[in-house]
Amino acid sequence: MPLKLVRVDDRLIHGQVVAVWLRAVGADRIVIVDDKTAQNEFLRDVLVLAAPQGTPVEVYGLTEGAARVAELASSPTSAFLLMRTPVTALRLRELGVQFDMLNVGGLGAGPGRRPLYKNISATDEELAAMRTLEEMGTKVELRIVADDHGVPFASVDKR
Amino acid sequence: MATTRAFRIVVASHGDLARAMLDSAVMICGPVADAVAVDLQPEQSPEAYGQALRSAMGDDGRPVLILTDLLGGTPHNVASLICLESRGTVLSIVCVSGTNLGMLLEAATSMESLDADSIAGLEAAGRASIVDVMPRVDRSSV
Repeated sequence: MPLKLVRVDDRLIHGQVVAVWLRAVGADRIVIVDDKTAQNEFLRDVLVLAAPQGTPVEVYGLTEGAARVAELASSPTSAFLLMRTPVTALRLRELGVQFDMLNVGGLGAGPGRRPLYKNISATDEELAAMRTLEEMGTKVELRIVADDHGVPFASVDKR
Repeated sequence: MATTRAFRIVVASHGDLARAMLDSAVMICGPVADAVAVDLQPEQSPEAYGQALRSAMGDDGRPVLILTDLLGGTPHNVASLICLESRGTVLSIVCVSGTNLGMLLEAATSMESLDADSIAGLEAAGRASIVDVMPRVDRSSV
């Protein structure tokens, strides 16, 4: 089944994701692609334990994640794909993972990060990744919770 | 209330819920000793929140019960990371999600040590305080 939602959120699973997005999207499972989390047993366990009962969470590094998403595309289960940064989304796209829309919902402020829209900030590398994704035909939409209106990345991108 | 509880309580929540819940507990059972609320503020990073949680837990090695508001929420995830990282150390840290006032009162007035039985008791107290009223009314009026 195609991916129900592809979302960038630097907290991965948290309140908005569990209480709002997961319900709105109605996916069978959450697939997280994040090298740092995949390599850290504690972080992985926290996320697996964070989802409601009945919603399995799978955590992969980039390469395994791309393979798993491809496999899920031809299976009857639906998935909600989560990653920490648009750079990972671009790498997945480059590895052949298809998605028409990227939801960017949680990218906090910090050193080297510029405010983009509301409380979404991005680094130069992340901005470049979102531009490339758009050039590759993936619409990048900024939307924090499901009830918000999605704002096209291009409309707030001041190059 | 005399501070004879065997563990410290840290209530962890989105926004001011933790503080308010502790205040509400005091309204029912009087002063709750050795209990701290740690509120996550909207712009607070998980890292900063983790530091706040750790300082609320203290460094005296006393067992800590962390009661979180929402399974999968940032306060809960940060608390469970601290909990998982303490495994295999001498520290005794327990994290339970879905806190309600019934559960908090049970914890606040507990005289037991923080072991599997008392944690099961807390969970039971929390669940027991969730009741759909009308079916009970219907049953008792039959």
